[in-house]
Amino acid sequence: VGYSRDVIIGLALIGFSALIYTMTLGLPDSSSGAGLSPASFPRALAFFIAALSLVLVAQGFWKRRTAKPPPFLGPLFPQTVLFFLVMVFYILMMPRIGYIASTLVFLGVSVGIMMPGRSARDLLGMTIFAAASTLMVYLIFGMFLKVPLIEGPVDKILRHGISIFSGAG
Amino acid sequence: MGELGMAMETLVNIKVLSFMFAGIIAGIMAGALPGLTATMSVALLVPFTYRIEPPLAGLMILLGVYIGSMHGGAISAILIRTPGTPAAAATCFDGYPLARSGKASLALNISAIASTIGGLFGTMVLWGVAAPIAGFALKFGPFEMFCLAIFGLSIIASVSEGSVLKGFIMGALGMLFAAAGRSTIFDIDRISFGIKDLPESGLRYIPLLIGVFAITEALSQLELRAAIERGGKKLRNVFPTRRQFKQILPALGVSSVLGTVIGAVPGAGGDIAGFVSYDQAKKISRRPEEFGKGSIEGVAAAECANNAITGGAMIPMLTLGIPGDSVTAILLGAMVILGLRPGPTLFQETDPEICRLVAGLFVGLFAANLLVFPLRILAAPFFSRIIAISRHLLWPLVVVFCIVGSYSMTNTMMGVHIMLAFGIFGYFMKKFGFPPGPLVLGVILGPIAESNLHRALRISGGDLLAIFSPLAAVLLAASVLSVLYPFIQQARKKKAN
Repeated sequence: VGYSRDVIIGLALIGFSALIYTMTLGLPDSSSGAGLSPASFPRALAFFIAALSLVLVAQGFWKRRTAKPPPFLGPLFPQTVLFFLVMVFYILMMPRIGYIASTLVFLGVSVGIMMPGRSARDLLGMTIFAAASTLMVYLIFGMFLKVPLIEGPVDKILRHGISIFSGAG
Repeated sequence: MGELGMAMETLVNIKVLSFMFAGIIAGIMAGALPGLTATMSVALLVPFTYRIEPPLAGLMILLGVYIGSMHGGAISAILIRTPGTPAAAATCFDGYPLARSGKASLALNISAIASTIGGLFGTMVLWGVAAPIAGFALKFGPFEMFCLAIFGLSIIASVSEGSVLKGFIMGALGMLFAAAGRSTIFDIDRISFGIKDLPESGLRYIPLLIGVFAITEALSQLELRAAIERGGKKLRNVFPTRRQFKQILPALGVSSVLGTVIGAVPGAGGDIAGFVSYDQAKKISRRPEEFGKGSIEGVAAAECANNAITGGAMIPMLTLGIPGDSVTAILLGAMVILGLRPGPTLFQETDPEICRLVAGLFVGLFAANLLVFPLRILAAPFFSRIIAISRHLLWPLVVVFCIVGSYSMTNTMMGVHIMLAFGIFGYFMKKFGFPPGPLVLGVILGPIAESNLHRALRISGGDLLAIFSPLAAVLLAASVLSVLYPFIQQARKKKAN
């Protein structure tokens, strides 16, 4: 990693340490008895991080760069950003529309974003993959392992269907 | 012996065995896929395991994943010269040349035999030494426990890939994140960044780990245009002959011992064990010229050692409550969620349920190491095809697991938000060359260090010298040595060059 990057992250960490220190100012400074106070440990850590970051910054300034650092962004960075945004959207939508509908859309769209050269056959494959994976996770984790999943209208219908089916069985 | 019988009774239960079986299969698959490490696989599964009844079944799935992924790492190392896990790095040296010369199946089966022998040896050593070490550690007071935590933190110097300085910064950040929210020592809210209802530390740190390990890795892997080398050819099972088995025996003996010992040293992981054992096996071999060109002894040595470390790495984790690496740190957290308290008092528990769980853990580790062998042999052709799975299908599915798992820890979206925040944090820190392993150690050991120092100060009336013992001095000296060791090694290398 290039040393100029070390300077940037070092300065950011010093800023973060200062923020933590400021946050500890509102905490009680003394403890009952001779023990630590609630502020002591976070404050010591803030100082420690700041001191190490300062060394990192100093290294960044003084050490000579011996090799070209690897590129900061990968070749598929734009697609990854898009994938990340879809993921954030998925997280925001899940409490509103439930696990099944949100996961189905997320898997379909995200696989589509990352897949190189899409044909009609790929589209069908993507849909099958998204549906099968969503259902597999629902059945294994939601139904078998009783892991709580957020329920939406589709989840309720499916759960109702499964209970009728298992009741009939 | 009573607990052992109890554990056997609980273990010989179709549900417990099925979970272990499922864990092993999932572990082998994850280990075989480059990018999915043992640490990430265990972190991903923790949230799903603590609801499983009986709790031993939950523990078995995690042990299964751990053992399975250590085995699985060899598959891609042999077939496509890409170690599925860092521990399998030394396996590439001879595994891949063997595969290139049409002996892929032989290499895979030798790795399965060697891994099983190494795993069983490490487990037996764990059985033998765990109780005496824990008995000794019972004498530790709060100050010694604080020093032990410092020693645990000092191994950051060894687990930091790239920069020791950055490793220590990550460790300190981990401690800071663990201190945020409601403090159990002071019963007060600290540095919570204005977030209300931050879940308690134990529930919060699994989403944190999922974010740092899985989301970070997903984003980093998706960003790369990796050359896909398909290894999905059909394999015909070829087993070593009696002569070949005799040939690998010395390598197995040396590597079992070395792997277990190296595993027990906090900070020295499977990759180190693999390389050291490979080197020693070459030194004692009658055919050292074959090493690097397709030696079956080379494959056996590397694989035996990197599986023997599983038992060794459990020694400090179970007896002292100090995780030796990232994966045992996550296992330690999972055990706490399941009701166990790894550390000196683990063997003093009187609650029958806990006793059953502890005994089950030991027997289960042995059983998992046994069960993985037929699975590896019978399903070798299937596992060899796993590595051809496309990344664009794999990583979105991993993200779904991350979100479902993080949600299930708290039953609120807070867990998912914590996971997302730490995923972004881990991704950027990785870009700046910060290793994720030390963060986990900080998260686990930070609260131990703070609470024990607080207690030690209160007991001593603020004068730590009054309770300073030779044991504390030894632990602190070991910590200093542990921090200095990588620098000494670096200086030696420079001098040698």
